[in-house]
Amino acid sequence: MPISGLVITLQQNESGQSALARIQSTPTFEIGKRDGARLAAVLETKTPKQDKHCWNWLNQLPGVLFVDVVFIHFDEENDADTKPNCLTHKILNKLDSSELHSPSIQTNHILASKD
Amino acid sequence: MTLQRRQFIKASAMAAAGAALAANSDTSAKAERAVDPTSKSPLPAISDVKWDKAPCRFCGTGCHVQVGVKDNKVVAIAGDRQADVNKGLLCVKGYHVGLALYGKDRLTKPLLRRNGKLVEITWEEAIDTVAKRILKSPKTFAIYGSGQWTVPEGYAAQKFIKGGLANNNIDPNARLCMASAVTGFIGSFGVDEPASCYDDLDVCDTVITWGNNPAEMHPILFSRIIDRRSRGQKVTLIDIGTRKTRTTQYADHYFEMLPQADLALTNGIAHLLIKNNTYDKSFVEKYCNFRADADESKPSLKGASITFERYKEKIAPYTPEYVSKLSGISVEKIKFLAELFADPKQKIVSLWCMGVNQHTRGTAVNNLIHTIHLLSGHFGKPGDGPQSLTGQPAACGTAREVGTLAHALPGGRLVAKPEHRAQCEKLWKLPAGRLNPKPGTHTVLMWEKFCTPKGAEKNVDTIWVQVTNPGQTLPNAHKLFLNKKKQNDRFLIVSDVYPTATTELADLILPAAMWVEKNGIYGNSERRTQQWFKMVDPPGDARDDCWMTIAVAHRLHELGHPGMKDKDGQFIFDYRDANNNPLDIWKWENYYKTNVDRLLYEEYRPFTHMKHKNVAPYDELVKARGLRWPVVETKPGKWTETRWRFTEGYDPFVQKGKGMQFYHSVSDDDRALIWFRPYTKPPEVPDKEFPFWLCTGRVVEHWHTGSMTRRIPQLQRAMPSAYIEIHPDDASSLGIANGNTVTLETPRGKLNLPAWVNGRGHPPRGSLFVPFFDESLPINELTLDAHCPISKQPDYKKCAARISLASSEAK
Ligand code: SF4
Repeated sequence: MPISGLVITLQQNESGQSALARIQSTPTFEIGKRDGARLAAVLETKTPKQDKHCWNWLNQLPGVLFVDVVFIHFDEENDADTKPNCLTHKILNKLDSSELHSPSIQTNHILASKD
Repeated sequence: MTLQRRQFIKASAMAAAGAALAANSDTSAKAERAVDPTSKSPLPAISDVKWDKAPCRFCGTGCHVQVGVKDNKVVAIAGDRQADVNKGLLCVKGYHVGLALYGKDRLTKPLLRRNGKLVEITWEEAIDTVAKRILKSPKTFAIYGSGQWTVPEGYAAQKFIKGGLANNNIDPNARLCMASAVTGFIGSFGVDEPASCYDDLDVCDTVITWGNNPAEMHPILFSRIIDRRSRGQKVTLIDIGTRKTRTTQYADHYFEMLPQADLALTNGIAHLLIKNNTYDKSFVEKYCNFRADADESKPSLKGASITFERYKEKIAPYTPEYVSKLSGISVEKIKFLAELFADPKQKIVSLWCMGVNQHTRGTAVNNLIHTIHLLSGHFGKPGDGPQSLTGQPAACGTAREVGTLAHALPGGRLVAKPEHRAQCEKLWKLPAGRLNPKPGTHTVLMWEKFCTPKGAEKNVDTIWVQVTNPGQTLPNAHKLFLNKKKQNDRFLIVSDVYPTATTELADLILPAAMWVEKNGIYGNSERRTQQWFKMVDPPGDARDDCWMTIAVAHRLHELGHPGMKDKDGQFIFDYRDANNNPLDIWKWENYYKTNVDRLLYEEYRPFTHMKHKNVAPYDELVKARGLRWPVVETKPGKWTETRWRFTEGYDPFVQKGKGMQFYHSVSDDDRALIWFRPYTKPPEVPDKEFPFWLCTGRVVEHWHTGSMTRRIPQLQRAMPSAYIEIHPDDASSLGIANGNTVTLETPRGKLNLPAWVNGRGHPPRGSLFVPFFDESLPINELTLDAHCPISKQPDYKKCAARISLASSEAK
């Protein structure tokens, strides 16, 4: 269950204002102090996947200029769901190397990146 | 996690964010603020979590993190507010750095290949195997190291091979990323490493990125610029490159050039400064000499002295029109850049990294960027100067400073110089004449020899790879790495933390400790030496690389290799306690009974004085978040770092009244060199058969070959595999749609990759880009091994290629 402390830099215009409103209305974010364009916030999510989703959403939100992370807590994280997509890993771990060059993995990545 | 504990951690996270906000709330104060290393930082007080400082494991920016440890495990990471580099902030890689330790497939046992299979062996067997292999043929043994070596690791490795085996076959992977910066600095200033520092970014007016993408590769440095803008300060960003990147998105001006045209553009700026009489006459007359190669077809490190008049003649052909033709940049834009440099009121920082260094004329472009700064007097003042960036955390601190390159000795010394060898022999207590005067094999040559069939070329048959992954990073990998498969008599030893493309061909794998599983010292891009302590145990039987080197040296000593003794007959790594009792640090059980890092570092420290790169005492590093050398004792017990080198008032070695003093000047007169280096064509250009330019590089989520970051779930999910960026018009003319599998070919190999059209980066028509982090899509099987004749650094940024829709996609 990742918890991150963030400093979010907003544009100082209407777009920044609307980004602030959207962040405030998102339950995974808790808003803290504000100093000019910069905002302290905490992102709390249930899974690493949700964490990544929120992170992407925030980075792509119009009006957000930059996101800096100043703290992360991850002692309950589990990396079991991430198997490195690499030959040697698969050889040493006797995994099926046929999925290595599977176009579907790669295509999914491109599509995911375009979300 | 209990609700109460969760609330507490959330409150800590918010406190850290609020504190970072406060710490960065006054930019002008920030620019001038020195870190008070003794002040207590308010770290989140999470129960049972113990905090300590460490530099980030990844890039050469050198951010500091606070590492939270509980039950012998890293459980939290916070940006270190006391660190001047990052002031509490971290990038996406940095804040996940702790998870790099906990991939499921850590190497935990020594593995020896027997009958094609890797089998577990004991450490005793492993050390004995390495030592006996070396003993059989010490001259054909080589070490391939890294800009990720800690200072003591690199120091021990080069003392062992150069001082012990009298063999200079050692080279770090920095040859592939920084060698041209080294030769650039030496050629221009007579001594390696930048004169400037990151503080420049807080006060400059303009930042020029030369083939550089700091928004992805050095994000925290880049955020210093963006941060200033967000506060209403004007910082003009000019991006000069061959492909639009995330940095371009923030740029005020983007000047797209043809590959290799940096050589023309820099000469074009110099041409206009001279022609318009807008160069800084006073600076040039006081502090500079002119230089060019006597024979331009044979580029050399130091060239020959020329007059100003001769320089003018040489630069005369580089008119804006001619440069525009070579570069594809308009005459107006070339004039704009020249006018910018002509303005003495502007404070200009140039940033560059791999785009300039990985270049068959890498030394030349480095010299030329220094040249336009020197010619225009934009040098040596806060906010005004060239700053070369490194990709690895100790490319400077270890690979360059410790002398791990094949021609070097510690502290800027050279194996070819008798007086330098004599100094090292004295400091190492070796018999006179022990050190070998012949430079060893540089990276490309080392691997070429290793992978070449027996014969005249064979003089490297055993390589010990430490802390790096050449199986994925060597260019033209079929020739320089994969050919090893055909050479039965070669023996590859790899110490690493995870299985990699390199361990795949290894005959012996040594499981290594990483980052805060061991003591360490790094040195970042701005001359900052940074220390940390071991905080958690490595998994299984993994051990420190430095210990491995010392243990092998001791086994050789036991086996009777004469080079493992100093002139008094003592083992070359013989260290004693205060009562003169031997510490026996080659025994693993003793290794952490003493601080071996301190012993080795303090032995190394006097080496740094000759070139005025005085590093701080170990105990000062313990207190600080890194100190920028030269560090001198200004009052008893008070050690002061240097922000701007060669400038009076900042650099303690500049004599009073000199203003600016290049005290290691090539011309021996305290002057820097303004170089003429001509434009030359790239080694391989697109033609009918291979009509595209191919460029390779990195992405923000992954560090180098991804061997660590691809084990971090968040980063791996964010960028799971490599891709090929294609311009939409090229894609459409070839019937390629986003996500289609594309076959990419160069004269050296072929690879299928998914297409990314209008993706993160935007190559122009006729250009392609592929990142190299993905082991399963090894782009370096296709790249070129042509290299700079001076630095021997290969060019990964331009070669000829062709693409087509993969047959699997054909309808
Ligand atoms: S910028 Fe580099 S050193 Fe800093 S946190 Fe990111 S990866 Fe680490």
